[in-house]
Amino acid sequence: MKSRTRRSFLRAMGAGFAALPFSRLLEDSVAQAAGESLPLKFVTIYHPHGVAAEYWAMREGDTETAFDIAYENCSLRCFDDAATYGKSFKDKILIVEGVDHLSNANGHDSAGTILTGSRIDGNKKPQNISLDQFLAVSQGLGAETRVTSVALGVGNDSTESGTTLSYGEGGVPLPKIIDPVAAFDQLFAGFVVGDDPAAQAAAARKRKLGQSVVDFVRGDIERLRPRLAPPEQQKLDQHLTSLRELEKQYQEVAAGASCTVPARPDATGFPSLRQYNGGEPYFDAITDAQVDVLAQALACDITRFATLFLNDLAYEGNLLGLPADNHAAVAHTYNASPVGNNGRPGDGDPATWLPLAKFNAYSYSKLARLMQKLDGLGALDNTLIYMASDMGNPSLHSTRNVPTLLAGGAGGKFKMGRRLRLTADCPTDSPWCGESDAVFTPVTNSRVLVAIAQAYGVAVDSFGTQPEPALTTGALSELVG
Amino acid sequence: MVITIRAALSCSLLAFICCACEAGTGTGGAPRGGSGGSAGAGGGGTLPDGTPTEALLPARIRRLTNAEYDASVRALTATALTPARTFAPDLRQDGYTLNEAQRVDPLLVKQLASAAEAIAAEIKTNLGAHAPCADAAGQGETCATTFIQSFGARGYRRPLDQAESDALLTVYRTAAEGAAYADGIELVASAVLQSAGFLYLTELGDGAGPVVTLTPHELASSLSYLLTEAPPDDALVEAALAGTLSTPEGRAEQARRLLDTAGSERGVRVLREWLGVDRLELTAKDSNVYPEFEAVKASMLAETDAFIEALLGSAGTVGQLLSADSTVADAPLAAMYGTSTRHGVLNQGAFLSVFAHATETGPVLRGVTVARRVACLIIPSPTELDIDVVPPVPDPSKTTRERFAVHSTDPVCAGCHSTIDAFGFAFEHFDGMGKYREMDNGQNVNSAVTLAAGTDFDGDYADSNALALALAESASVRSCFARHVFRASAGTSGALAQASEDAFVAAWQADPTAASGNISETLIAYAKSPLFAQRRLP
Repeated sequence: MKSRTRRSFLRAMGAGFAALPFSRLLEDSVAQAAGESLPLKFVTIYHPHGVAAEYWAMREGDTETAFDIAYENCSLRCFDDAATYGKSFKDKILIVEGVDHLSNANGHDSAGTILTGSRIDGNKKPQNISLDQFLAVSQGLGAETRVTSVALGVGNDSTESGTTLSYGEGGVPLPKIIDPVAAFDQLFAGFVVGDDPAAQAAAARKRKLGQSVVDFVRGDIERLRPRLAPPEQQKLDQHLTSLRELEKQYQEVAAGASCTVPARPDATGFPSLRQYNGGEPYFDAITDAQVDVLAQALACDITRFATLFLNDLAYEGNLLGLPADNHAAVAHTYNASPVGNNGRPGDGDPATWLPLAKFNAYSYSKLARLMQKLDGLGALDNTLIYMASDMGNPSLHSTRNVPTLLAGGAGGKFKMGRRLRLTADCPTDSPWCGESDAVFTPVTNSRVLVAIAQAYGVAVDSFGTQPEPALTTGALSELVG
Repeated sequence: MVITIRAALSCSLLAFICCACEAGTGTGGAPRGGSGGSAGAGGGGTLPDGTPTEALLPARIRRLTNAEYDASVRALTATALTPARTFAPDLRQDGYTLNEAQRVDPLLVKQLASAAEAIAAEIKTNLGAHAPCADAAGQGETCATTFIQSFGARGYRRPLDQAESDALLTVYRTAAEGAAYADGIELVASAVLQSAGFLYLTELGDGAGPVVTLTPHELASSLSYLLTEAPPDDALVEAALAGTLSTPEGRAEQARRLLDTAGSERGVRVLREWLGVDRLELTAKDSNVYPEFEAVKASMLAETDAFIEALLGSAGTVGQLLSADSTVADAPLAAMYGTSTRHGVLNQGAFLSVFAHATETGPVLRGVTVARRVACLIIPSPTELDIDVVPPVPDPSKTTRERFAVHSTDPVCAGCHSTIDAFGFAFEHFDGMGKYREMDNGQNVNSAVTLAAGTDFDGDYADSNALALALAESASVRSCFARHVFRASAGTSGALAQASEDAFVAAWQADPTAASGNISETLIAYAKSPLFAQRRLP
């Protein structure tokens, strides 16, 4: 993965100098001077409730490169809204229509398919590792940074398939951080010392003591491990891997690292965090705080791999003026026209499209916020953001034609500023076709995942678990342009 | 179009797949016996209580649950902190928090470090209680060694070996060097709280296989966490060291003592997780439809907890759990209940609210839960059968039952739903938050069902109260309960544990008090079993 310039730079500096992140900033500048691109950062964002395709999909007159997303009520409008976001990000998004999540599960259990490309099994788990973990952990691409990867969420810290994006080997769900203060502490702990010698000495001591505990725990695990059979040893192997993550926190931060560390989020902005337990009124504030912490962490190169699991709004008094109970009164009542109904005939009910489009616009506005922050910190061009929902049409709980968006500069790996409409799943004369029909021609999100892996230079040709290997195979080459 | 069938499965095939059949060996039949187990590679014998050695679980370790972690740090340091409440929630297996799948992932390892540092800082400020030292300046290392021996042994729930205490002394020196005794003690405490010895319960035994018995310390720890979700007290460790826990009778005696003295937290948790009522904390209702819900939610949880506690404290049975009409509802909940009759936990607000939608009842949610969890019927999920399921669109002119009744008219659905809906529709007199109702969408509620699922309680029932009384009398429900006690206690389930589960049910069946459905005695039956005390080496 690493280029020759980068490797030779590191060799020249000697291993001892490879402290984080200052040396990497130098390394980056050397690499950049040699005409190389900076390390790509990868963020995946989930948003609930599928999409009102009527205000999202390509319209008559739109082409791949010339399209209008600024029309009234278009849920993508925030990406072409310089008045609000300082500039238009239209040239930094790639909207993909026609991606299918073959989760073989109820739409609500299907978020686990987004980054795994896997079916969800009877225990509501995907069957393989998620792409962020594959790249960050299995491929070692997160090893250099202070935090290998981070999973953030809003309101719900459950690890069931429908509520999380990141999975370890074998599809073991990984927990999320739903408290922005905790997220900040995890990401920035010990990162900033300042120039005060006393503070530096205290930080050095904390690192020394932390490392001493890690060494002890590692030894404790090594004493126990030989007494176990291989399947049991895997539990301790996971623990050892996790310890390495803790250990990175105790590594020295070189003075002078040119990174602005944000203020610790103000916890009084969200006195409750949990969904169904008083957290809903603060979800908007929590989301913004998570986005801001994440943008800073990416810009400081503290981590390069992140997931963010967005949530619903409150039943009552939501800031969009939507009917109470967004789930039942908006998502479930959506009555689509063919574009939102997997091509099936029928006029639908236009009155039901707008509330869902408003909610979609709200979810996308959080991505726009992230893009704006990253752009301000100079990190947008080397970031690839993949945003999707667990469903397409939410009242059908359909996992086909899920709204898929790529955003950021993607390190130049994908050609942004476009809209793509992929092959329809069903021919027009057979709009009800399904997975068992010969005429069903899905484009799975596995192919998006393969394309992203290849953008990282990882030589994989398939990603995910489906009964037909062909379904998980082949990069979606259209993304490259 | 409510239901879309994606797979080209014929109706008759689906009906066959859906046929609900009981898990395991059945209603009261003979155990599978020594030759039937699939675990282990043949040649096994039979243990004194009839348990085939192949059915023993493999030697293993399991990480403490969040509840166990908090109880353990409290027992060890007398802290008032409850750090695990902010840890990521326990990963569940078959609904149970105590399970062998728990890992220390990268997020938890940092949360554990923060928690350990916070507790260690408390210890540092109270050295007199935790690690007194008359001459810290001169004799610090001697005092530290004493602390390491005592604190380490209580943390590890067994004496430390030389390598372990040496390693902790290294930790002490790192922190005390150039600093103070207190700093060294603080770091030792932090290290113990992050150690494998503290975080994992071992079930490894001692000696060569193929069958090993847990060590006395392992027996004491396992028994204590099993029944109190906390580390063993001194009396239990003494009993273990005296060899008392090596016999089923000795374990039963200590188990009864623990259940008498340690409160019923663990028993309440097992029953709540069995029936899923602990999910009430994660349940919300549309306040347009159920404006009173938020105000009585806490009362519902309290009611179910108090109801279970009362049963555990009075040698209660699973039959009583499902049928008793005594209520312990507080004033707000009693006002919501009014004069309605409510037999057992399934007719209480917590269960009825969890298994319902935000705006209406959930006949399928309730039905599937009773069928799977209470009756141990195998109900495949629609996704396993390649069926896309979409809830019926609300129709103001129809009752919920009328809308969901499409299941029984569509032959593809009927195979499963004739069983599911018979359980689920029986609850239709209780709305989405468990309030009694006569009318649904302006029409009379019909809660009469006919159950024909091949169970020992098939028949006609007027409503869920009548159904509950029948469930309470059923032998198959009792054995289903025993299965779940095994899963909750052994922390394992599924195909790999099937032989173990069957062996437990067989042993439980042979114990008349346990087999009567006595809840505590069923918990104790697991403690008595070789499935608890012995392990198989690979």
